[in-house]
Amino acid sequence: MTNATATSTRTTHAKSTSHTGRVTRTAEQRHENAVGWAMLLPASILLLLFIGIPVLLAFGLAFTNARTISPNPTRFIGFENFTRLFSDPTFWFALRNVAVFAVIVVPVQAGLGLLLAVLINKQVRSSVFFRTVYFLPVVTSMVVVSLLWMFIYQNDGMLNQVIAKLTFGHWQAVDWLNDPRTAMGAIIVMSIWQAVGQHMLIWLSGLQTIPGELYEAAELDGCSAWEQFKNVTWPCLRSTRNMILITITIAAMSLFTQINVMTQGGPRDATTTVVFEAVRSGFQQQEMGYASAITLVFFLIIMVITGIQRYLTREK
Amino acid sequence: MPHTNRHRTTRRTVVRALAATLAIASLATVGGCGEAARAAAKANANEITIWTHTAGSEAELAGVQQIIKDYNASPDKKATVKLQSFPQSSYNDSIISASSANNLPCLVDVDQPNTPYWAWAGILEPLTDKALLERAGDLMESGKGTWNGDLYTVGYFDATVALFARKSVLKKLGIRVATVDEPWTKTEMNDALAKLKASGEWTYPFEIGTADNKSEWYAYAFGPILQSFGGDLVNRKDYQSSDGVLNGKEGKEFAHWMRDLVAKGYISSKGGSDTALDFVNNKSGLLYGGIWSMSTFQKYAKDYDDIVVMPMADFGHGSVTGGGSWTVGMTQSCPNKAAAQDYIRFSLQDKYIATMAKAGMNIPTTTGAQQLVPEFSKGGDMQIFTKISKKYVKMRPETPAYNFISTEFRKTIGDIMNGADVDTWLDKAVNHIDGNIQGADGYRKN
Repeated sequence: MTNATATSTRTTHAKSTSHTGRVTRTAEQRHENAVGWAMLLPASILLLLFIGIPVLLAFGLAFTNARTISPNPTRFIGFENFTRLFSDPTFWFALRNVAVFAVIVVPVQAGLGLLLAVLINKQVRSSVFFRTVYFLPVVTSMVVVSLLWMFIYQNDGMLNQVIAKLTFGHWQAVDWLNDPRTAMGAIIVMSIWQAVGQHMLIWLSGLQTIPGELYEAAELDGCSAWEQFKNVTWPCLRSTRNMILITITIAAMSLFTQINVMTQGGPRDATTTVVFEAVRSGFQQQEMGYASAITLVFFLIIMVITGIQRYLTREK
Repeated sequence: MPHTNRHRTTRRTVVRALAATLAIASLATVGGCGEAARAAAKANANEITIWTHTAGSEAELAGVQQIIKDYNASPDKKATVKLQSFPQSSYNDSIISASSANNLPCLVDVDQPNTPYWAWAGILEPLTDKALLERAGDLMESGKGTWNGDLYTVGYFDATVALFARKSVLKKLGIRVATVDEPWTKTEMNDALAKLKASGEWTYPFEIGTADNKSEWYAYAFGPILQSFGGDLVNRKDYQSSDGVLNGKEGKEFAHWMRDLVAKGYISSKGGSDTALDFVNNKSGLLYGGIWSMSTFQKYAKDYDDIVVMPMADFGHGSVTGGGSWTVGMTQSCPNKAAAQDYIRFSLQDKYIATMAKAGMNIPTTTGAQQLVPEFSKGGDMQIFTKISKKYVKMRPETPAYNFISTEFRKTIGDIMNGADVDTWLDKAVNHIDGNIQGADGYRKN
């Protein structure tokens, strides 16, 4: 938008003063560059301060025995943190849990979001209402949502009560969050419920960029609704799809808040995650070096997965 | 004309943006310096600050405020004391981060088992003032935080744990009322649980506070059971390893017993959040809880006289009970150590100890103060806790590794009660604990 305006102003200006045009243009370009850099500056400084430097520090700390508080100087210990990490069953549980979470959440949440988006993309009066309703959990803080769902999942909570009513009392109450078999499932359902609205909104914005003529043409060709979706909607959503895929994957991999509030990684490591383990070792147990090693490994995993996704969804 | 205007605006914008950035940056630095300068000025002005964990516990907060008010009003004061209180749940984290930011106050509250860790990490300074040490000699042992032979912290009160039951219920089911001198044996304990369960009056007849899995409770309350079985959290000979004590034969026996509590339906692996209130409402028949449960009973139990306090059962190596509560210590960075210790000495008067202990219905740490609280003086109904504590207390391991051991123990026992395999899980915990101790060079000072 801004670029377009700038260019058009420049052309008019060049036309009106043709003899000094070239000189002014370079001078102006320089100024525009300066403005660009100046605008970039605050964000870059903040990014460097709060993302760049900490990331580099973490990479360095991963090879030391750094602790949050210690009277002894920090010492370089090579790959000791990593050997300890890879020999720890909890880490492998965490990795497995995150993988399960991502494998289920990514397609289900993306799919459900698309379904909702298609449903409310129709220009009917109630669509604004539904849009608001679906989006409501997104604006609610994850901590609040987690606390609410803890009550829902309780032994005598709403979920068990409702199922008991529906089955006329034949239901044996399940302690959803405290049973290794159900805990992860319970968290997955809640997480999808909370975040699906956001992805619905992104899908929706994608849907609205598809020109109406394409649908008209498809209709003239006698395409059914499904054929329209398959041949018009789906291909046109390519870039939206890629973006959603990558953002959901990263968000799913860094699962933390729900775990911290609801289960603390339990029962029996059934819901622990890589980020939760990193926070636990770093802050509860003050082993900064070890926690940094976890985050470094996690960083590499995300890099690889994102790389694979980029490769698979590249422009052919 | 328009374009020159635009030019000027852009230039002005650039200048403004730069100026703003500079201004923010300089503000930040100046702000930082200002903070430090102000802190230094404060120290010079003979003003010392105390951090407490008492925000949210009104009575204790009022107690501290009273002590500070009296001290500041006394003619012999060596400095003016200021109070800053934190909620208990975030207190330890605040200290750790303040320590790494070099921002600690002069005096801090310390949960007694944390004393060695904070002493090792250079947060705490040993207490050396003669008058203070003399007074500290009057305190009961579990009211002090020591490490490597130095006294670091002193407490106004101590807490402990006990079994609570109703006399009428025990009588009806034919269960003996345990006494301080003769606690239940392991067989009696198991027998009592079986009888309570068989009565069918409660879904889970026994409540041990399993829901409290984010605090010290697991190590504080279940550690003593482990010790009574003959195991321990760490080998106390040199505090270098947990191997053989946590995952030894006795440790495994303990873990199996804990797991059976859930498996046999005696306890819920995720019990109520207010166990004392649940007991009052007869949601459980037997409660293993803290001394503080008594204040709930006194407030809400209509059958208060029916409730009986008993020590935890003897599982083979004598009954064991937990000890060590919140204490006060002085930081290494305190610029006015004489004043800090003078304040601590002042605060250890019997009348203040009595106020502080009474606030949470805990055991006052001096016999003098115990006389001032009717519940703890001769014939008082809380006196039994003093006896239990005196006879059976075993302090949590006095090692800087304790903080880590506690979090690991909590998680492991929680998982085991949820059905995890005892052998692998205990071995895993030992592996983690030993790894932590080695990673910190054995918690020695290099």
